[in-house]
Amino acid sequence: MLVPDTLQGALLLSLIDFFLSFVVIAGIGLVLAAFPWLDRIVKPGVNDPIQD
Amino acid sequence: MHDQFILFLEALLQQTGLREMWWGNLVMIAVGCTMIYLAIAKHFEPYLLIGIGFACIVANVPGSDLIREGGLFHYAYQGVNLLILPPLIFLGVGAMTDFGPMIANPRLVILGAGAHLGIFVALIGAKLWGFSIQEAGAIGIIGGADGPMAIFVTVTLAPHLLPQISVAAYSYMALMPLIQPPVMRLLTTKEERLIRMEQPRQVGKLEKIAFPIVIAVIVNLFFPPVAPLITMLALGNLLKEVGVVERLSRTAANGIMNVVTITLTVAIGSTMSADTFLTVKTLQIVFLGLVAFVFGTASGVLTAKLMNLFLTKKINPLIGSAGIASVPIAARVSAVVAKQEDKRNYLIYQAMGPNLAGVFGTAISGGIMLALLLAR
Repeated sequence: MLVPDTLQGALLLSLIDFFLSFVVIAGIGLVLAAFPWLDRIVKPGVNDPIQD
Repeated sequence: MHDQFILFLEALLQQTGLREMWWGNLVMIAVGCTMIYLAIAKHFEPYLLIGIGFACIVANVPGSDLIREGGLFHYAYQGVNLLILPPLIFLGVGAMTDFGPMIANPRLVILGAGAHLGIFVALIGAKLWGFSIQEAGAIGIIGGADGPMAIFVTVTLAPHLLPQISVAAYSYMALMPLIQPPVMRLLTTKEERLIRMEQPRQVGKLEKIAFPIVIAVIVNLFFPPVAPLITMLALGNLLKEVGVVERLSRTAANGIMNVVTITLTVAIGSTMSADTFLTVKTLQIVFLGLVAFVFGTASGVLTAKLMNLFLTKKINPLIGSAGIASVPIAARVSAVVAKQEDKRNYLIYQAMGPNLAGVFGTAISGGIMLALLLAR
């Protein structure tokens, strides 16, 4: 097993998992931030998305 | 003739489970009855507790054919064991969910990660208490406040702990209105609780259609272990949002969801036999589950407060605790606590953003955990 079955293994797993989940969720947030541009494909120039 | 009569009676008695019954069975039957009472009288998650409670009672009546191999409840459990039922639950959840609040306010999705510190506190606590790292991972995921995800991770990492972990996860989700508010009030000032937030923007139809497709691609690419759950969530949501397959979307949200809920709850309850449930480990898991929820609530609120240090438009930190998942209970708790401070502060839509993000936060945390613990 990659992660040792010890307390240190648990701490390492927790740190990596917690940190990476922030990174991935932030990435999803960045993708979502680009979503208002999709509305422009449907109705270019009309109903420009309100900037948050 | 008298002797034959006695012999017949003895043979009949041996067919029954009376001889195998012990006090532990009676305790668990009482637990099942309590669950049914809470569901009916207090409206605590009735859709879950009725099935779990009833199957718990049956599982503790020795001799029941339903839970033995070949029995109906045994086959229901195979739906859990083979990881068929949890993805189907997510299909129904996706078909019932509007992800607009999450799409409208992307900066709040970070709370979906911030509110999951409880997973890791419980994981470390379980390891300190002598559980194996895989068991600790399964116990930690209770803090993700997501029933199907908890089942999914537990069946993969520690299937022998499924009864305790699933009961703890669903019970604490139902008890969120009691667990979260004291933590939320402790970590926020009155001024912070009174912060009003703008109504988020309207989300377009194309955005709502693109969302499940984009999420399905991201999860399958980066998190294959949890892809079945999130992909089915995405499929259900797509059926809802396209607007041209209403029959399918209604079936996913109603018919399939109801059938799977009955089967899943019965499957979970059927594993709650006294032999496996009445152990010190159960008490430890129940305690660690509570710790996970408390720390998750706290970390969500504190993440929101940390974000406010960098934002000009402040967010109400009460919505941070909604990032723990458990849609829509946690969002409702945030809205209720805010309304108790200011009757005109309506936060439910804003709180739904982190609440929905929390589902993905749990999936990401669970996915990374599975990837690392199953890797050789």
